[in-house]
Amino acid sequence: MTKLAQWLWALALLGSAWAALTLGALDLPSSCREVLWPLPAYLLVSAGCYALATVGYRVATFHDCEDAARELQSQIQEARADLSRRGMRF
Amino acid sequence: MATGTDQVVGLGLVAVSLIIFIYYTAWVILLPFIDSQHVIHKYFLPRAYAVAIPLAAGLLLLLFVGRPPYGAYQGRATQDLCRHCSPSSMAALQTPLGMKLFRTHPD
Repeated sequence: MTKLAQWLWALALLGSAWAALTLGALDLPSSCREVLWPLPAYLLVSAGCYALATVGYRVATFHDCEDAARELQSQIQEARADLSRRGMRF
Repeated sequence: MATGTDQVVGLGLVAVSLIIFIYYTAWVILLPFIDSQHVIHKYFLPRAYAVAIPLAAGLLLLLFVGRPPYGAYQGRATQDLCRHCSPSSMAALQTPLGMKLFRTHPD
């Protein structure tokens, strides 16, 4: 079975369970019902929050190498000077 | 570790997403179990907005999804085109399927 088919199966199963419970298949207390019906929206919002937090965290902890960056810049300047001395125009 | 503004922006994103998550979890999951006379209900909108606001925000984000216009590949010079591409076949390229085929063209 392809990954798409697996995802669609899982979505269909969970979606039908949610729909059945929201429309009253079992007798649930009203507070449980109130938690149940916004659940799909809640899962989407939490997935979005998790994605945002992951992106933010990895931006904040990215391994910058400042010394290597400076060294690279100076090597670029050196190369440009050398090449323009030999006649190449930028 | 990242430097300067990278760190600020990154940690800012983490903080924003944490705040949104905590508020939304309290709204959807905790509030129904709290006595309706409690003062905390004053800080949350009616429950219907818990679905309406993310839905509206999602639709708004969809408006920012774009694609290049259909005429995007028309400006190519004739020597860029291979010997198989006649002017009449270029007309067929304006469809989305045509664009896809053009990108995988061998020449």
